[in-house]
Amino acid sequence: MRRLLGALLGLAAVPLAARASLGPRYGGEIVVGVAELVPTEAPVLAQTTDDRLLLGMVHERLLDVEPDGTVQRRLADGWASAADGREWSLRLRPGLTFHDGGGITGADAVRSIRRFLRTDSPAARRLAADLDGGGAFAKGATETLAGLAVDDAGQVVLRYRAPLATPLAPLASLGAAVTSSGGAGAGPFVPVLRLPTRLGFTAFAGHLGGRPFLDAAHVAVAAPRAQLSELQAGRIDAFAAHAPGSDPCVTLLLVLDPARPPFHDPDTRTAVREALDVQGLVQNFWSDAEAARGLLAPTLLAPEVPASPRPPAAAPTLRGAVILRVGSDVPPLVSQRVVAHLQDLGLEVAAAAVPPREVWTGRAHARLVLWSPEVAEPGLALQELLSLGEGKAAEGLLAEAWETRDAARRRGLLDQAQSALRAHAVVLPVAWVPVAWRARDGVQGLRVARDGRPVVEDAWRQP
Amino acid sequence: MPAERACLAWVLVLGAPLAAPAAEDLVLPLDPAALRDEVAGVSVVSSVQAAGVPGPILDLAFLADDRLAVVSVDAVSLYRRDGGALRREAHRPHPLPLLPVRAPAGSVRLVETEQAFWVATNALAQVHLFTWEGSRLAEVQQADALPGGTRYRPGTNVLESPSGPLVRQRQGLAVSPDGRLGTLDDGEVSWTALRVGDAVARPWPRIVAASSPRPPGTSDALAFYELAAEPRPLGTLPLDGSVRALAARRRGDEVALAVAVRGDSGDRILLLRLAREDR
Repeated sequence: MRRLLGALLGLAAVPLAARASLGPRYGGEIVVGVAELVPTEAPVLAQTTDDRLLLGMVHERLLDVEPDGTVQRRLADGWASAADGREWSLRLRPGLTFHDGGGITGADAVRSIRRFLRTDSPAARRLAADLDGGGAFAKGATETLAGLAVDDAGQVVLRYRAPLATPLAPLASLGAAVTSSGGAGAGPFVPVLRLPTRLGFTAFAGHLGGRPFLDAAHVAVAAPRAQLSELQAGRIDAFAAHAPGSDPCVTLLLVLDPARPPFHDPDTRTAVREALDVQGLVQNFWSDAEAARGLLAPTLLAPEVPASPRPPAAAPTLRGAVILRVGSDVPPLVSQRVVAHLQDLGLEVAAAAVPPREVWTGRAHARLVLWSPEVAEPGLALQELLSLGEGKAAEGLLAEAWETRDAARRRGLLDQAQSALRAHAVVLPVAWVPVAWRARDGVQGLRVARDGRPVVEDAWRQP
Repeated sequence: MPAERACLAWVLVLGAPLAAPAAEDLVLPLDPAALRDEVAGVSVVSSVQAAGVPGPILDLAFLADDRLAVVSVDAVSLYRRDGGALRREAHRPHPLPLLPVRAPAGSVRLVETEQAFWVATNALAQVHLFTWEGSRLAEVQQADALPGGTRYRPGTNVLESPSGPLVRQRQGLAVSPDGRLGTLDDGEVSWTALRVGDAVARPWPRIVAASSPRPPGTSDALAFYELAAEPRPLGTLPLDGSVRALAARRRGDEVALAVAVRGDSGDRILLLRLAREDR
């Protein structure tokens, strides 16, 4: 009997495996659906999940950064600091090339960072403010930039005005991607076709992570609300959705314009914030999301205290007509509920659904937008939100946090800065939202990076 | 392959020294492995496994009854079964720099009649010929391709061979990039409709062992088939992990089967003794 029991236990100790032998396999193609195409393959400020997907296919950055500030190697495979943390040298991986076959050099990296500094990017503004001579260069007042050079060993040298907590973090922006003098990227896919509603790419054999499994990838425009039916009809193979499958990494924000009536009045903004029943909205209208307990998704800056449900405040009566621009990737039921909240306060609301990238443009009193930061680092992310409104207190705290290298103290400052930003009630967090791929059977390897960027380069087709 | 043999002989005649192996102290205990034996006509006589094998393992091959050549992403190693343990006797790191690859792949190809084997991986620009003598392992030659001109398509796990693109070629068996099993005869492949994983071995002339063609997220198993125009399934051995490579060697009526398995806690080598039933 004991022997039998032993044999049974022996069998039980061999659990069925969680993975199989198949793949990954090289070859094949995939068609990815996106709401809109990024207007250019050149590195630009990524504003939407689709932007991140597309720019990440074409471009490669010097480095990446984790939410805790840890720097990850990309084109740069090493770095060292000197001058008490005011000078940083980046060493490039040897042997890497651009799509056009040219070798990637320190001079390419420096030229790319100079281009980045003159873009309308919050991370670029941060870097310009920190580098020796960066401010004047970014404004175009001079072509001299003392804080950026290539040394004799071909390393990229950045000289800062002061030691910083995460000085290299702005370089993790997709806008800071390194390109050749002719504009070629070094990402996993080479762009080969651009049509108004379709892009074509081939695998880049020289990518730093190795050739992608797929021979080719196509990106086709499909309206967010039509993507599922396009998938079912076989016209696309996959699309990135705001749906369960990853940690929440996107925040649905209601952004009030503090320069326009009626939201120029802090009491009005506070009334909107207090009246917004975030818990009820998410619970009843967006079960895939989570009621936001902070401006940043918890993967970036975990809230210290769980939120307790609170009843909506008694709504004061507001007056005025407002235009609300809503990204077309926001679920209609959710945006309708937000409009209803504003109307309940007495505001006349004209809502305009626009493609996600156009939410930030055009005249509006408020914007409802799915937002994820340009760089997934909490200090930079909060600075990006600060740039949407005002807040001297938050500005001071963020500046202090940016220069504070003690992790615990920095974390405390970031929490205070977030509280100060929320107190201004310009940027109101509504929901934390995950990003996940929806794909046809047989498409494997699609994943979402920790910063919410949908990644195609590891995808493969099951035979 | 007369040219290849001549080349190997040339190297040996010139007396290319067999370099002394680096001091090896890796001894992995062989523990009993419980398997559900559900294969018609094949019985598992014994099964032991060594966990914690440095990996990821890309391929392995029997050099002798008690010796295995193992190619991993970063090295070629020689292991010997030593009583109740698997002992690493020699270890040769791959020359750097390695090419960046998204899915590492490798092949060990034995040189018949010589104590030698070729190693190819998709992270190495060249293929390498090793000789072994006892516990000594020496690299004696490099070439652009394996004998017959087979080499990895740059950056991929696909072997460009005279028989076409393959992901595995072993003991007269071939696996196509889309997972179809084929048999090789004079360089010509006869493809079957059977789909398998990347790992195959031929324990008996008409029996094939193969990893599962199931996609990630499902359980893996070692499957046995009887070779025919349409191979007939004989049964499976469920395994905890993903089968990455297989090697078989006849020993009298029995067969030794080595299985490289990748699990959550790393790679292990499973050593099975198999026998035919009801022959």
